[in-house]
Amino acid sequence: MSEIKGTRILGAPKASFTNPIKDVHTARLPIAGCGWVETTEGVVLIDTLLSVDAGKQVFKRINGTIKYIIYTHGHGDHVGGAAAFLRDNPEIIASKYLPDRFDKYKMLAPHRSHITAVQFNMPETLRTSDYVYPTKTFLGDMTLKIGDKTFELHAVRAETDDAVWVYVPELKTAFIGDLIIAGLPNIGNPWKPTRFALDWAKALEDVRALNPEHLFCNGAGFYYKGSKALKILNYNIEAIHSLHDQVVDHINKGTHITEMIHEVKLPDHLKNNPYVKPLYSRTEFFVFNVYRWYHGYFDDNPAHLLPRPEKEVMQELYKLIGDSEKILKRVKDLFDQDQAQLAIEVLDILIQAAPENIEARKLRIDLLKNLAAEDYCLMSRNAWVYFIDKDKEFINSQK
Amino acid sequence: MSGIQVITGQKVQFKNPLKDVHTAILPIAGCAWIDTTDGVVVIDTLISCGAAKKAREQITDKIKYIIYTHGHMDHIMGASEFMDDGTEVIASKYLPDRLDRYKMLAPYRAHISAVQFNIPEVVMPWKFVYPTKTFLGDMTIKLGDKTFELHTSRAETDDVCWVYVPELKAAFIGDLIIGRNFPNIGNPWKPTRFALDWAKTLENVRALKPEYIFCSGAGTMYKGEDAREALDANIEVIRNLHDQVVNYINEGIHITEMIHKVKIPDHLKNNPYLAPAYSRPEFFTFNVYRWYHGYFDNNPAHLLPRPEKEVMGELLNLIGNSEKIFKRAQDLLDQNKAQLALELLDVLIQADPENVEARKLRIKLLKTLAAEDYCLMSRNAWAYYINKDKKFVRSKKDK
Repeated sequence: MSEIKGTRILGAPKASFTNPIKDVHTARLPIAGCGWVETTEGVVLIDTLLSVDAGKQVFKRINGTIKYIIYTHGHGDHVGGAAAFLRDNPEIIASKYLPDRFDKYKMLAPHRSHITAVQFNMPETLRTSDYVYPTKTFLGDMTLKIGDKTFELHAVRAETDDAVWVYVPELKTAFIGDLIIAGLPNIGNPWKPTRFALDWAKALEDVRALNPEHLFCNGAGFYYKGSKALKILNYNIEAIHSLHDQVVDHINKGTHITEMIHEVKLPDHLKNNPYVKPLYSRTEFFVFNVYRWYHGYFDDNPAHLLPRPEKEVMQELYKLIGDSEKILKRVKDLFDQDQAQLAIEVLDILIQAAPENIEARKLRIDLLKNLAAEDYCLMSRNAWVYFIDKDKEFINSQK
Repeated sequence: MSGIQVITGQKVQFKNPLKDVHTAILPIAGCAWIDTTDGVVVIDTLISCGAAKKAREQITDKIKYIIYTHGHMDHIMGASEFMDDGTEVIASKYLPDRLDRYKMLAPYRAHISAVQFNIPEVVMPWKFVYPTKTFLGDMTIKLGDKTFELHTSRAETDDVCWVYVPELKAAFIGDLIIGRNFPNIGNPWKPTRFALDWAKTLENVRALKPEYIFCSGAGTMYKGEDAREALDANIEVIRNLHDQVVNYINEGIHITEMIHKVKIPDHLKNNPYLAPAYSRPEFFTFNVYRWYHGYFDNNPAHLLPRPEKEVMGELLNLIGNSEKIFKRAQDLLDQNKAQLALELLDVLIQADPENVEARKLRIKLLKTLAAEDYCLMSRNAWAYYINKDKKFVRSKKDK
């Protein structure tokens, strides 16, 4: 089998710049971009890119005084470059919940450095940089008038609890942060807590109701115009509502979460739609996420109300099965039958009950490679690759 | 083994603990009303119209405002009884979304209420009184000789609204404190509660140095020193357990280990305000974990799992026969490890759901788990599944 590689979108690529409509400029990175709007009384910057270095490239290109920075939400790729834009002491505006997010990132720094390494296929590094906190926060709606332009800000729950989207009526332009990205909306990330599917759809419906002529998304790295903007809004709204409602129906029917993730599908007419392709997130992650926002952890199985440590259970199962050969054999059979995921779950008993077993790790590498081979969803692909590398490291350490 | 009943058929008691403040008390949430020189303000409305009617009979003046402390049923269901001409109903902006969600998830909620509260499973055609005015952040109402300072926050729910009346030095904090019980941060059936925001909200209440706090809806009043002690105990326990969970997440401890490690600190264990009679630290842990951590537990077998039943089928095949499982589950029970036995037996119950002997053994295990368990939510769960298994066993006999 050829080498399986992860997908990398962080790192230090150069930003590219556009000026798609009068007074609006954008900077684009493979992950979120940013945009700035010129007014007769200064500049309003929307998002700040991932890093101060990237931010500096943008700052050089901005003519005039930056009066305001608006954070569309608190994710690192939208706030990380802020320090590059502070020369003229701009007011920094965000949702009231954004500072809590920064506090959370500091509190969970070790955990976050680990999950970022898995999700983005990069080394584990503890983020120590200082966050630039907003100077003004709000909830609900807020309007700024600057020179010849108006900025209507709306705080909502969508990908995060601290989303802000912006409409500039003079330009008929909406800046919606990551409410739309390239591909299926990121409603569900295995490592991250709750996203807000229904509120997300409602926020996009509010955007659509304004009939914007210009739509900036993915930070502000992507730009859509006119009927294309409308179409993309429609696809995203429809995909979210459809998947959301399927999850709700399954919860009401009592379908187990491990079945639900396989049952919920994009409707046929959206399956090959390039704007909602599972390139970054995927429907299974969406399902887990909506489930977690509506459903407790308890799955109606009394064995799972107050579980013992999983390792204890695995050891019991291992003892009852009797020997590792039986497990290895069955796992190989399942693999031959093209059931790599089921195989990996059976093999997990051996790996948890006998963590030193090298054969089990070797077999797991083969299974993970098989799962990764046809998987082009960034988040799951990078996870498979991460655990392949980890098992390889383990085997090397035992030699 | 009987469950604990707090919902149905209880008599309402009335008190007038303080000039101009009246309370109605039920085993679940109570309510309060405050007389002003220009009409009455009702805070929460009890669980049913039947109970609310009795409270309404005690109120002579016109009701100008109803304030919902949050959207849980035991706080809103009696509202229609308190509606006079032009009564304004005030709540958090997120409360109507909650009522919509209750309708959307009616079948699921009927099921989980039956388990949690030991009541029959009935899907009710709920008729809610929606708020006439919603807000986020802070709002002040002046009515006659009194001021009502309203503050929305996230705590037990995302739609909390607590009230301070400076003329009375009284804070009405809904369920932010529930009697003398450990706070309800964590319910196996319910989605996220907001531990850190909860502690911060209680800190904001404490900062006002209230002479009186009304909690459990408004059924319980604490005065002076007692009020301060109740606030201190709740704040400290939330912060302490929250920080333990954060540390364990950062250390990468598995959730099934974490729930056994997070403990109430010794000096709070016998605190009179923190009896684990309703919720318990394990539920708290699951909940905080879910707000900070994704569903994925860093085990590649769990990223995109097959239906659990398939895995259980594989395990039963590998173990070879059900006798081995019975014998080991019985052994574990004899060693006082009923929970581990239950998880092992679960393989058989899922892989062979018609097995009557397995159900009989599970009844024994559940009875052992229930015997010493006085936490309302877990006790009622054990009782529910005992009854369900008994019904199943009986249905097989009848055939």
